[in-house]
Amino acid sequence: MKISDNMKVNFRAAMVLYIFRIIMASIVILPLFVFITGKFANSTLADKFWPLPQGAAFFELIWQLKELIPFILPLLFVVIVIYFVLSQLINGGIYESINRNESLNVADFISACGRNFLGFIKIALVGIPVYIISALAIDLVGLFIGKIIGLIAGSGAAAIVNYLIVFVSLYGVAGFFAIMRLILTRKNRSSLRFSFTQTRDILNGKARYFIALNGIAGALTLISFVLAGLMITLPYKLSFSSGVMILTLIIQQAAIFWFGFAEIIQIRINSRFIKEADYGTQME
Amino acid sequence: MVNKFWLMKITKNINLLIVIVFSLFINGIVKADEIVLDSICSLNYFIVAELDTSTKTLSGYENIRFINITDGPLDTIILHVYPNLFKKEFVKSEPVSSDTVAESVTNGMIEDTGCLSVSGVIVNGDNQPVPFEDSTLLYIPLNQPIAPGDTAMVSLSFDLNIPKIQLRFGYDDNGNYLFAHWYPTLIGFQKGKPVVFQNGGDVEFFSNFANYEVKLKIPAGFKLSSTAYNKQAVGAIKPDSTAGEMAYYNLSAKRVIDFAFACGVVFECETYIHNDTKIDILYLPENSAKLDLIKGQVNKTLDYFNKLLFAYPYPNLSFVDINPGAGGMELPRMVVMSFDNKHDDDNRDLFNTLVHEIGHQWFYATVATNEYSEPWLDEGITTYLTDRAIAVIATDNAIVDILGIKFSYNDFGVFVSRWSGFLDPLATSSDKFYPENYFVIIYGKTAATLKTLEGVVGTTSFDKALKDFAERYKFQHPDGCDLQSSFEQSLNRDLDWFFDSFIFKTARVDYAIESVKSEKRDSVYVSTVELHRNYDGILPQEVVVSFADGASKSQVWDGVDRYFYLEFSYALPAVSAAIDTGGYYFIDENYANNSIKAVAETGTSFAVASELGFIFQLLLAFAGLL
Repeated sequence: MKISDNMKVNFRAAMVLYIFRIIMASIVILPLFVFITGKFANSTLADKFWPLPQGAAFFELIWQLKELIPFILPLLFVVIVIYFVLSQLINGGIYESINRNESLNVADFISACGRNFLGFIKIALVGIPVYIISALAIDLVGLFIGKIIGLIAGSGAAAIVNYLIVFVSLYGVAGFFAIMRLILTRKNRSSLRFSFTQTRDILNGKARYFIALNGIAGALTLISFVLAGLMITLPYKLSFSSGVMILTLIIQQAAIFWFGFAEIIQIRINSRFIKEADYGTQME
Repeated sequence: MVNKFWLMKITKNINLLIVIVFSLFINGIVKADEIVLDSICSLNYFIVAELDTSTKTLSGYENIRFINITDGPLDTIILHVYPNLFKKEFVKSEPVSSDTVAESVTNGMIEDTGCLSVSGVIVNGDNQPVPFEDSTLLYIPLNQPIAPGDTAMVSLSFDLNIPKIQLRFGYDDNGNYLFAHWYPTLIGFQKGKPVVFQNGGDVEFFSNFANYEVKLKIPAGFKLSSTAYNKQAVGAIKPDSTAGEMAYYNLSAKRVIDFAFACGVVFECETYIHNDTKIDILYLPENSAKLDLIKGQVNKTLDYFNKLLFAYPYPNLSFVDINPGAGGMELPRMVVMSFDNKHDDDNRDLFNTLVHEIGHQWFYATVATNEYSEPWLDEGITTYLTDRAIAVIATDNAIVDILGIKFSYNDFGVFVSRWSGFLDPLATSSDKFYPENYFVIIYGKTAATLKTLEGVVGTTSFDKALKDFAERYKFQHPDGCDLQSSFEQSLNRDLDWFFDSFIFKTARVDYAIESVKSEKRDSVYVSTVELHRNYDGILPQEVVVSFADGASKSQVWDGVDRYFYLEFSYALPAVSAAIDTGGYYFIDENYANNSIKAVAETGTSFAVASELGFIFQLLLAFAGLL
């Protein structure tokens, strides 16, 4: 079966995100790995880390890791700041690629990154407090509705409903910012006000449609989230043989990749709103 | 102003008159009931008290009869008036380590305040003493000193303003009351010396064994549970008589270090007999579903301690469902704790608290160490025993289970004692601890140290020594030196090195295996283990070397040298070497270097790092939404 051009673009964009994120994560993971290996590779105490590091072994791990705190905390801070900046930079290229529906060459990609960077940074800076407030409010609503569902259908159903509400709603917020970015990418402008008002106009009367579509993206990510949760706990309940370990790693990384892929799908979904609004002919 | 003066004088004289009459009356009763001042109980209380719930006060009269057990004459009688800690104008004359309650009162953080005022003091018929108060102590200078061995009789009246419940004492939002150390209490004497201290809030108490006769008048609708043996066989505790809206209880308790009681209108009561011990459970109706669980745990815990130490020596034990302002609170023949465990789905916290507080009925209520000057003895030993008991009673000894990662009492002890456990010895007086170290050391580090001692002498020997100590000092007030000498006597070995290093001083321990190397000599492999002692603390070490075929060999190193080599001969090279394989040396500060593999394995370390890394990757992915 021939993979469509759309999917090729999506896949490549997701791969760019994945590689970027794993590089950033490795900056923290690698020192952690070197440290833990240095402390425990020779010790039979490490045998007690599996299937779960119980009591004393766990505390010993935490106790030893405390030596790393003065180093790892500043490193984490630096990585997060760099990640934030680079993320906005790379997003410029990814959004441009989806807008044009073609995989950009390196020069075009870098050019798109630079062109959109300022506008994307502005959107992200506005997005941080909006996300925080939204997440808190949505979580409260989710908990409340989850409680009611829990009374009727049990705690399992309550958790599912709670997570669904949180993901669908948060992805609604993310979708709004995605459209703002897409508009900036198309019009090659960095005005936050311009991007916001155009997004609002495009979505006028389409709120339900918009939330439903972004909810799909949220639900797709939820799959990744659940998979990730299982991967954190399930291996401990199985053996930690090298086979299971490798399999776990593969599934973990697949979950991370899927997370990014769902993000690209969401951008793609939201690009349709612009097309439907015949945006190109209305603007400038 | 003048009127007030005369009013005060008249009130004082009336109080004095009542106390004189009361004193004469009590003398008759005491003789009639043959309350004996024996070698254990050289102290006798007779108290008449009435609870007024409308004013939240308790007023009464008290008669204290005691023998001067010191070597010299007593020219001042000192009484604890603990509730004065809750006075708004509380001013301490000397530093106390834990001033949280006092500070809360001063800062107005505690809504209600309480105090215990004393009047009409008569000593041996002399109504001239002029007592003076110093915070939570009341000094009564005597015109006629009490000679050693002589008996003294103190009569007085008291008025208690009851505060909102804090640390053993007060009323709660349900309108239930808890009373411990609620009356003027004679200071304790240990080894013939008076033990004088202020109530610092968090610090513990000390008093001598006494016989109590208490006549209580409380509202008729109240349920009551107390230190006293409930005379009714099994069933709800009933008053001896009622008059109108008030109920009268005649209560007595012998050989106890305090007389506590709890009462309230919303309580339900359940009583039953377990192994000749009458169990009273005073519980809130909403917690009735937990009764069977609680009874099961109580029975198993009593059985465990009865077997490990000695048979519970009292005829009754009460459990009261009231939040004492701490997780749980031990009182003589009484355990006070909230049965409400909404955030404790698997009842771990409920059970662990029960086990801990029941354990105190041995190490606090019966082997009554000085909680003020050596708090490690009762709390530390009980914390250590809690872990031991839970391991037997429960399916596992975890007090916390987070996503399947389980932590025991002792795990916490090890962890917290590593953070700040080196500034004070275990045997530190409660008012002398470095800030925040009090709980860390007397609970956590003491339990860790006792576990280490168990590892040094062996579990069977340790249990025998502990049992001997408990039986030897039943109804006495031993100190840390007594514990050491008792252990040495039971085990027939010198333990001065251990107590001196780890209990009376702050020696630190870290033993490490630096390497294990094997080389073939003739037909066998000789594996050499290099050991290091990194700190000043010395512990003997059993070094175990494992071989590829699953066999193992061990040798004991006295642990004295700073570095040492041990050789093991076997047909195969060593694959690993380890010390403390039983996991007893909880005070060793680094477990990671207690073992070594001949060939390093990075698999598990990689797994840990990758799990942490995966969580970080997920966070980054979420952040990507921005």
